Amino acid sequence: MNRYLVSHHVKRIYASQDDLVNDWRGLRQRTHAGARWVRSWYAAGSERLYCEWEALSPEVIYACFLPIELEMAPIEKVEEVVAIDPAWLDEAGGTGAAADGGALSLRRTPDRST
Amino acid sequence: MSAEFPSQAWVEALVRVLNSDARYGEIARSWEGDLLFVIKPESDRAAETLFTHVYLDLWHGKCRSARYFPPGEGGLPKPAFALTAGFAHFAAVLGGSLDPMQAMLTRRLQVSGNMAYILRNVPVVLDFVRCCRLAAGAA
Repeated sequence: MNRYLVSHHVKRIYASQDDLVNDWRGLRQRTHAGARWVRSWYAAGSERLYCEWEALSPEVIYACFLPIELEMAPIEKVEEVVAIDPAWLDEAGGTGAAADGGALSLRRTPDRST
Repeated sequence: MSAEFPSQAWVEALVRVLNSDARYGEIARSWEGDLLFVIKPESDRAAETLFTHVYLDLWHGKCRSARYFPPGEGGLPKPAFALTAGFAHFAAVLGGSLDPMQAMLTRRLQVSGNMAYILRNVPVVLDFVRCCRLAAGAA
């Protein structure tokens, strides 16, 4: 399974809470083992919805949406991404964040040209 | 500044917060819409069936007027938005243990009025909740 970040432009929102919740519930019910809606972030200022998915392919994600949903919040971009948890750096050992109060030390790679 | 929710003292504290908080004033500078809290009695106090209401006239980052309606009191205004929930859910939002967005999307907090306007103005809603928490002494 790949991880994707799907960006929507939210052009129209249901005016009723029931319609909104029912629509989003419908989308959730249309997801399946091959396309899992993990989490979303809504940026009201830019009218964008950023959704994290785990899916077999972008096409499988598209297939979960109804036409009206893609009309109300069209998908602008689907990008394959990798997750990075900052907490991993706490486990990295050596001269990491925990040792120096937050600054991340990077070890210089030996210059192989010489 | 802390006061028990819901009460006249809490409403007065909230109005003071809303009208003095620079951050709320800035974030809510375009907000237009009055609001009614409809607070249902606790389920374990089923004998008490009367609803409590709090009315807030929110306009361009200020609270123009507010009123506490004790249980059963009539003469309620017809606001642009009404938020209905049991006391426990209101308390959970105000106490920080229930996310406001989660409360709306799970319908624990029922919204009457234009949901699209609320979502378009989510930062205002979240900062309003912050002010409610300040008034309740939870923040």
